[in-house]
Amino acid sequence: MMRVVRAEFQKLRRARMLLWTAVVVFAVAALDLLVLPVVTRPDVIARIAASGGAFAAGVAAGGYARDWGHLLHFGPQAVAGSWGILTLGLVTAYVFGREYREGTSQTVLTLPVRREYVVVAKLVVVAAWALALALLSAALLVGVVAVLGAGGFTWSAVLESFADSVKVAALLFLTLPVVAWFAMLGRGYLPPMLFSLAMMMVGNGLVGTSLSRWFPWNLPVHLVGASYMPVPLGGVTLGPVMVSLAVFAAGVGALMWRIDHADSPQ
Amino acid sequence: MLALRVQRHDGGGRGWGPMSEAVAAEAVIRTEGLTKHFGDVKAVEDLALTVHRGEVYAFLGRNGAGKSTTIRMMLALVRPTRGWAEILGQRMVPNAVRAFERTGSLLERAGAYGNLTVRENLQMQRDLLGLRRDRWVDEVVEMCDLGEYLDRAAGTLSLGNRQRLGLARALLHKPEVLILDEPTNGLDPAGIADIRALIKRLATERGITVFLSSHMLAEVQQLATRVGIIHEGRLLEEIGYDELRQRNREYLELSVSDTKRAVWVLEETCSVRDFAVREEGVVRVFEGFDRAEEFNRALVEAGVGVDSVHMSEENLEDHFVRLTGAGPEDGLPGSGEEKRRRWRR
Repeated sequence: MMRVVRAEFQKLRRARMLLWTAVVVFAVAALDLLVLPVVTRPDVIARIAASGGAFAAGVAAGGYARDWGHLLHFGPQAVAGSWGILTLGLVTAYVFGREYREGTSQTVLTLPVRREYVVVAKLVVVAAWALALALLSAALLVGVVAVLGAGGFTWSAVLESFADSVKVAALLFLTLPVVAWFAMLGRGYLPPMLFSLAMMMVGNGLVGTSLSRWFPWNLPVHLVGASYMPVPLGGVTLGPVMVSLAVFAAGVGALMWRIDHADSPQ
Repeated sequence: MLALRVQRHDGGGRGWGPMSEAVAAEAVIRTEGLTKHFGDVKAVEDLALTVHRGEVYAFLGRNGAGKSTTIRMMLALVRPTRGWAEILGQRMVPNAVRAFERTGSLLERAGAYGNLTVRENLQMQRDLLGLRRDRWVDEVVEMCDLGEYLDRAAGTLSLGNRQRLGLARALLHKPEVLILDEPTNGLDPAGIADIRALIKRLATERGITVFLSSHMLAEVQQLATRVGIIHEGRLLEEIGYDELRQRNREYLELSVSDTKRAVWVLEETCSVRDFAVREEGVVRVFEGFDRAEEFNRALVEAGVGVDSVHMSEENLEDHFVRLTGAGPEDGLPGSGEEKRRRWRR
């Protein structure tokens, strides 16, 4: 099993996708660097708060106060939002779909290695990649907030930001076997990406409704909140977590079934 | 130059080399009633074949005849609708790990991880297979002539070199059986010649049993020791090594009234040694073409009725066309013309 996991990591050597996903995280940090100095100015906060709407309510609630405690929330919130769903969807699509794109899927299936090990090894790679991106995102935000010169630095706020990023990545990871299944079903990158996009849109549509926390792709938002509107926290209770775990189990089961039962005619 | 090793068939080790006759009789690949339907399309129908150790079995058929589907069923990549396939006594189902430990395969499009170099692709597979020594990589690199491309990214390789890399990956664990689906598809003439030479070398020097599919008659004629002709999913005929060689020779065909007596006359009176009884009443002589009249006279004098004597040159293509009602896509230039000179009595 360890040999298979090691081989899956070796496949990433010089893979451009590693760079692209890192670029996404850096781009989000760069955006933070551009936007946060503006939206954390008291006059801008006052104007936004007066404009009405969900975002204004969030701003009025103090979400954009220029201190470490508030600003560091943007890290896990970003991972929980659209970029997290799409970027981790892309990572999953790449890890599972590249075997079809590069014509190596049939080589993998005819190796003297149990096919289930290959699925597990790929999920381990996706998990490690998701974790690395979440940690990179949190680290970059620490740098951004330091550059902004925010006050009220505490190590506990930094640690909480890192911990929340990891928790968010873990909750999102529970949805990724389903994305991987789409990659195997569609034999490439497009179907899993379209599926991730669809889940992101459905999730955005559900935020603010009572159904939202039951939707596994939205669960991270109920853990750390959202930067664009107030979201009631504390929604991550046993019921919604069990739903997410059930989605994870169903996804893994579907992957295992697919790799053993699907024809590879081409 | 690589040293040859004696092939061990007790599962106790890996190596390549010559084999005994008893071992050669062992069935390495078997299918029974192998059938695959894709909806209404009958891709493969009730296929039964046996490939023995040391054979180079060519699966010949037009595009869409069912060759690739058969190979994919053999490798457990496609589930049969009915029937089964076995390799080295192992039923080929997903996770037939023991069979895959002794089988190498290269499917139509040789895949490789484009971001990795040739060396890294091979090392990764070596690690995956639990092979510790670098020597295993060095051997296949030398065998497949990949030395100068070792540090090139696989994504930048030409089709021919990708195919070599695919073959190297297939050979890395020193398989006893090699299954190749159209191994020279898309290659230039030089690449085709190289891959064919390599396959031939693997079979003759290393004793690897090779099962390859092809729609190229030239390939089949040069490589195979046995040919199975598949058409519309059905195995129409199997042709053995001797017959395969004879099909590419000129011969004098005698239609006679008494085959047994004709054979006796040819052997005893005319001292003919190289001949074959094609079917009852038809004898093919592969020597002494300028002695046709002498053979005719000797037979008649011995009381054998000779209906016709004619000179022919049939090759595999003629046979294939007659059998399937259509020529292969890359028919051999200049072949198919049956030359006839008749002496009628």
